[in-house]
Amino acid sequence: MSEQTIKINHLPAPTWHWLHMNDADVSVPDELLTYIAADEVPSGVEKTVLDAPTLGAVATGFGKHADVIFGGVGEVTSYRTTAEVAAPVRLDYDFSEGANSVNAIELIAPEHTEMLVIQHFHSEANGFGFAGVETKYDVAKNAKITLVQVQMLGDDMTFCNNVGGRCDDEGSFHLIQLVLGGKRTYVGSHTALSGVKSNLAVDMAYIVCDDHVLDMNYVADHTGKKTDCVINANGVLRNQAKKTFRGTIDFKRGCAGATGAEAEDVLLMDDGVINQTIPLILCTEEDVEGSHGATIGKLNEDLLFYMESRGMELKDIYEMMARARVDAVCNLIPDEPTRQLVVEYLGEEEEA
Amino acid sequence: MAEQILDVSGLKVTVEDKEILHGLNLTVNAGETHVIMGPNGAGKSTLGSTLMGDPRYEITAGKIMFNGEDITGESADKISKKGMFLSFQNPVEVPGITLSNFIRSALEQKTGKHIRVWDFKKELDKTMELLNMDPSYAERDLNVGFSGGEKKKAEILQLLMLKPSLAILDETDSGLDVDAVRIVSEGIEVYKKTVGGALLIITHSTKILDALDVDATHVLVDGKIVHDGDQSLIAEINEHGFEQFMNESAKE
Amino acid sequence: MKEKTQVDDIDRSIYDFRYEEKDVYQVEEGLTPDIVRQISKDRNDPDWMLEFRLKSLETYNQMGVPDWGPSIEGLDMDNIITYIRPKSERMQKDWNDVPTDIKDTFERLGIPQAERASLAGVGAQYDSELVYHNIKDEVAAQGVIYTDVESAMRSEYADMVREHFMKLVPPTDHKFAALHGAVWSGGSFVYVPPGVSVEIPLQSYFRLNAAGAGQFEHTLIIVDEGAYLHFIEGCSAPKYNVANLHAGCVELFVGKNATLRYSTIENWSKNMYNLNTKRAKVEEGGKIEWVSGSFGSHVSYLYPMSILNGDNSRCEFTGVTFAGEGQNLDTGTKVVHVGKNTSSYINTRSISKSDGISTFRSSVVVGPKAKGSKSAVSCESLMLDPQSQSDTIPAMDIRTDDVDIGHEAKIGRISDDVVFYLMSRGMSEEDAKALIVSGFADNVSKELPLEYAVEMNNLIRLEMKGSIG
Repeated sequence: MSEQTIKINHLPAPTWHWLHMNDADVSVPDELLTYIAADEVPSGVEKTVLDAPTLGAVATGFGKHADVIFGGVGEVTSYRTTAEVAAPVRLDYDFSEGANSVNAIELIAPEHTEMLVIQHFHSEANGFGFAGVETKYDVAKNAKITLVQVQMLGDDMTFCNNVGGRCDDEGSFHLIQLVLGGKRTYVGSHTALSGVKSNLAVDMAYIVCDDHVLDMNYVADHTGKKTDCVINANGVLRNQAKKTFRGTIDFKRGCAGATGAEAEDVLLMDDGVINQTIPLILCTEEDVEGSHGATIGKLNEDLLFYMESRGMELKDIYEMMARARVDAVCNLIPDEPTRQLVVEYLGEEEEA
Repeated sequence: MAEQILDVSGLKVTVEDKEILHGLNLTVNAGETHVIMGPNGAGKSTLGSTLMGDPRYEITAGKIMFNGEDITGESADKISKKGMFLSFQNPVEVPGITLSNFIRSALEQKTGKHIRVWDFKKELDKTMELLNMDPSYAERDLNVGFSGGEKKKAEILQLLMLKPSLAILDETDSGLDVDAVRIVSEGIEVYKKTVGGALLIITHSTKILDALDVDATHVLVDGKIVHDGDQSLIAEINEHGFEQFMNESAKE
Repeated sequence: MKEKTQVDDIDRSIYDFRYEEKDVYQVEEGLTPDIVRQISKDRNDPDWMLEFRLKSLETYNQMGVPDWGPSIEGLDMDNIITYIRPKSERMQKDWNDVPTDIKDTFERLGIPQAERASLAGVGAQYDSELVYHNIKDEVAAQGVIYTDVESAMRSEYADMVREHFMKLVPPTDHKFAALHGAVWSGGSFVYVPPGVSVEIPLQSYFRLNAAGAGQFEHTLIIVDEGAYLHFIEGCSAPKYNVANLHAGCVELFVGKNATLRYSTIENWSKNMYNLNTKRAKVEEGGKIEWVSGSFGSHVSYLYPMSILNGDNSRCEFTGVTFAGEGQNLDTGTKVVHVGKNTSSYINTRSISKSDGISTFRSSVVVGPKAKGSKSAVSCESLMLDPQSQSDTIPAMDIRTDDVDIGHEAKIGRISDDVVFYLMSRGMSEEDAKALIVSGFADNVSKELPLEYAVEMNNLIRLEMKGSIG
């Protein structure tokens, strides 16, 4: 089977090449089938199958070469709210067949509407092959989209998860992501905060183990006044896992009053792990407030001592704290069945 | 008749397109102590900041005369050099500049003369002692990590060192803090004794004023002075609150 | 008491004056093997050095310019004079023997005065030549060597120089390291013997006087076991409307349990391309302390690097960068944790004003053997107007689990509340802002000897002049 290697997840402002953090290489099979997710569409949401994407020009986290993966998707499914919807749009992606497949969807929230979309990516535990999912969105004035993505793929899968969209005045986009499986996972997310007082929140958690790889690229592009972003990524690396986190707050000239905060907390559980972190703040506007912070390493000694003094063993403390990172994000998912799914999945993992 | 130090006439002030002061009149003579009282939201802090030249408060009408000069729309540094001082409710923290260096620098700015470190240090130490202030604060960065009481002391210290002819004390919120009340009361006493300047005390609590000779009391309601009186007005407000004046204001 | 808030007005002319070049020896503009041979001959190089230069030139020709930093398109090597020196006698030990123009230059910059007042030794470089070098007798008596690299190459320290020269920064490191290897001249060699503590600082001052010239001095410092040294580097140039180039190289070897503090106040003129490389290797229990103020230059690429080679070795980097009109300053630091229980502490401030671009760029790499290592990075940026730009690009690569890595960054503007507060106490808006900026940069001024802290605050004051529109 032939494939080509492309570069994705570009850092918006590159740095020294020897660090190998400016972008990620991903091998993409030449032949990709269009995958259609099984969906559950509540009333108040209109589903349309498009021949061609309507949000084709929207920037994504993967960047300019994303089309190599998603350009050939045969049909794009669009979900549009017609009212404020409480019930979630559920999209089930079962990649158990092992075929190389790609999927693309669009989420449209017109003015004063809200939608919750839950994407569940899974396969058999020993699943293999390549899967790509591209999710583009458009949040109109005073509208809101919450996108939940839970990834529980098999140990031999390459997964490309590309997200991109735009928020109009006072629109908000909340991305909740859990990366719990897969051999190589690439996550890209680009949000154009072009509307006044529009905002982005990203809450992501991951557990990467064995020799698996997680590569992330989050970009908040602030052009609107008084825009706000909060990006939180917390996770655990075990065995020989490798993780790269790129997170960029880009304050463009004119985004007066904008604020942005980015935080990463990584727990390193084994000696063979590789952790790469590069949190950027780019700024061409005076009236902004931005911050980023990162904490990488072992557990805090005070915390360890406190817990040990309550009779816990070191290993148990680490397991508990690792789990706590995922639970914290899981608890943000506004849907009980999905939270239950995660709890069950992690429970099984622990017993295995 | 005593010399007028402050004469405010027909002052209208707007913040973010909202008018807060609607034509305020106020006169203070040299050496006098005036109290401005009023309910929350009457515009008390706005008055203090506007007099001091805070650019965020836009003067849309009226005039502020200070020491016989028109200072309407003048910048804060120029007003300060002319002898006005505002004690802030919540003084900002300025990392990298020690309290001592800051006061010396402000004094040099005011006098336009170089001040010998030794002379300055002596006066500073003396004044800090007067305020019962731990001398180590002189070498700490301005207000950084100071408690509420310490910040208040640092403000009073500056008041005593800079010796203004009019001190405006914005004490709107400090009424409940026993420490702050004591620090400010003692500071006012020292200022009266050593500098002899005029005072404009903005407050809604009367505890600060207990031990003080007040020349005039003004009631500020809804952006205007609605009532003037002498010291006895303070006791009256203590007993009956602002109700009566609020009605007066509504009647107009 | 620390003098932080009160700074005298200064006049840019104290840096901007210049003398016409006369009686100089110089090479043609551009870069060819012949020019390199000519430099080598004039420097009276040993054979190995000529070979080294020619090989570096080959490397230079093979390498590309960086594609990730500020543009250096305005720099045309064909127009740069890589070597220009006064024809007079070489290095002097007495200022009275230095040619009058050059002596005057350094007098006006305050170098001989500083030497008398507070330094253990001084080196003064004028264009390509080190014109003055002296060390106090009592310091020399402790066995401390402070001389130019050329003299050292011909002395009993010849082997030591050859063993260390461009070993830490090989010519293959990047294009301008290769350029340095080909055309370097001047600079300083310092050796501090084991256990010797040099109580007062040594200083080298670099002055680039000729228009369109390059300066390529090499600084090689070896601080032996248990020794201590504070080395100060200063630099300036008059402003021209043609590009000047500075591609110096600093190699620092910090021995077991030794400490080296390396302080720089960089104030090149705003037509300078400052493509400087600085690197330290620290052995067991040793410590490197960088104190770095970047104020001058049109374009800067500057990232002093610390290689924490020995167990328990440490580095501290304290920096401030002020990018004003027409400046694109890309600065930061690199740390590599190799040994166990190594620690790095990075604290930087960037200021951008009047369309200036300031970029903080860093990398912290913790290798698989660096167990028990710690790193703390803190960078803050201040935007003084909406025309400017400030980017923060910090990278971390961690390859062991037994680490404690913390990183924090902030960006913002001067608070209106603070400006009003200061103005209410009689300060003009300009002075208030200058004071706030000086306070913002006090991470560096606190670390500098008094005279240098005052000079730095003067530079800030100068940059803030006329900032109120």
